Amino acid sequence: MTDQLAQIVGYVDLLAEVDTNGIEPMAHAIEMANVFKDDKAATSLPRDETLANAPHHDERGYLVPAVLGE
Amino acid sequence: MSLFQQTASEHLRSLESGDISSVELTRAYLDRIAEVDKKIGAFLRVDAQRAIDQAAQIDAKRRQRQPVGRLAGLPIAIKDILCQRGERTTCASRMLQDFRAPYDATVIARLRAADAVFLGRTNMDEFAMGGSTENSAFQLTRNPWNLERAPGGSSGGAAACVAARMAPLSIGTDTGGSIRQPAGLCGCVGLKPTYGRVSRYGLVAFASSLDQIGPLTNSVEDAALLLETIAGHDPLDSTSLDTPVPEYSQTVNQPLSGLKIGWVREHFGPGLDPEVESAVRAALGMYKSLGATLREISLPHSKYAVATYYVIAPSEASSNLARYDGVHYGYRTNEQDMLAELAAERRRLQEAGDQRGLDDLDPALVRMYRRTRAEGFGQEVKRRIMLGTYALSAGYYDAYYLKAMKVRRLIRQDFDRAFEQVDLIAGPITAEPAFKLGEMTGNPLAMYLVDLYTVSANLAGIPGLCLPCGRSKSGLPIGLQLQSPALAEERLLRGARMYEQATEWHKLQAPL
Repeated sequence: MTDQLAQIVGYVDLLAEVDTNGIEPMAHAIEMANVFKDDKAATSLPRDETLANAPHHDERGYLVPAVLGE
Repeated sequence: MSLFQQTASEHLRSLESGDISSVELTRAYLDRIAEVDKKIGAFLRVDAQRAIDQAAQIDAKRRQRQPVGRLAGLPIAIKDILCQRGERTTCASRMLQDFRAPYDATVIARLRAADAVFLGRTNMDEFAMGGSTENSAFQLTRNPWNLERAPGGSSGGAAACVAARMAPLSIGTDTGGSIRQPAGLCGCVGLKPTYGRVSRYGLVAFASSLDQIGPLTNSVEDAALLLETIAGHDPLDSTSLDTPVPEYSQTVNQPLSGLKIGWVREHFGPGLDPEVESAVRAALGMYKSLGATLREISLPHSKYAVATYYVIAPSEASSNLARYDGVHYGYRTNEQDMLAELAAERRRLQEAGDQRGLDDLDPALVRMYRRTRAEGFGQEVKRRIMLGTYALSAGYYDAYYLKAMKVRRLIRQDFDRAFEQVDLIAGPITAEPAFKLGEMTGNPLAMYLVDLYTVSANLAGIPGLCLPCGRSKSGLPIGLQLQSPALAEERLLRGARMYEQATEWHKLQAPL
């Protein structure tokens, strides 16, 4: 894995030779800004459906290994 | 004519005229899957009974002369990366092996409203990362034209199932070529729409600024029909474009007059297989004989496209895949084993009097994250997460991510300039026909370089279409890629259809 990653990083170093002076970075293919939607409340998924995919949960929330008081 | 020589559009006309029912059509495809998919492995799951039930409901609607949707009664296969309510949506990953989507992706909702019949879910590279479908955690998919060869990827199952006539329509996704490349290697039609043309809501994210959903079919007409069904603005995806969707299927059969086609000097360099080159040049010649003008053009930054892509896509992926934490959904490591492992490590460090080691020992929650991700993700996904976090890390951000975003603009500007001179760009989809299964597995960089001709369209956000344009001497399909400016899918489809109507490549069937 380390060798493969080194090879890939070595390959992308190719970008260094491109002159990008004065070029604005392009974050998105179709540049849009400030897409707003109305601030209206809508229904969300019911809690039981949301929790149904959690690997470990009770009826109210997600359960994780103890974080405090170890 | 055998049912399986017909396109989806022809099936639809038979359904509308009452020559065939959706139940008959669906059953025929299910039988074909049962017979052929043992050899191919395109489907991860098929729900035959549900498909038949759904088909029966649509037949009943038709009989009662109720209004029906645009695809009423046509079977369709779905890449296992789109959320479908109540269905498992695995992304071919152990991480999501048991995940059941609690809602429909917008594309699924639109297909449902169009009365399409869901056949099942197709195999893919894990989280759509790969070009051979070999990165699936569950199974191999074989190329219908040669079972020793890869179907391409990441939408390998989606392409193989239409090429093997196990489904008339198929949905794939394309982040760097994942629809077009397998379409090329399997000899079918694949279309990546303009970024934002199709809503990504409910598509499990890989690289959000590059991902698009699109059709895989056996004809350009079918691609037009499927695209017009799934495209359009969606308030649930803020990047979806709020522009009207043309009725592509109504215009697809109209040839373009005065068509100017560009071929890219840089696409015909060293590394291009001579058989592929001659098939693509013959396709260009065909366009000329259909009245098009050919023009040589240059995309000077195309040699940087793969490097740009393999900075941007892993960066976005490393951020998107942070959500797989073993808490909210998906796989979690065995907690008892994990706690026992930690306790044993702690004991060892205490016995050795290693205070530093004890201070550095993971808290249980952190160890849970680590083990969950180590066990849940495959090699390629891990490789890309590491590349992405490296490219985004302080000290390297400017040299990699920021640099790549700037080169991305130069790549886009190359296309903008090219499309001032030509209407469409035509060229190869891959440098070689389908490679052997296993041939690339030890060499990820070689696998990445297969994306040479496809990643630019994703970086620039423009649409790209692949259709068959030849066969190698060994009988493998060769694909032609056409690209157009953003939102010019109508032109792209009409231009592709001109070629298709003049040739027979799309009618050839894999010898199964």
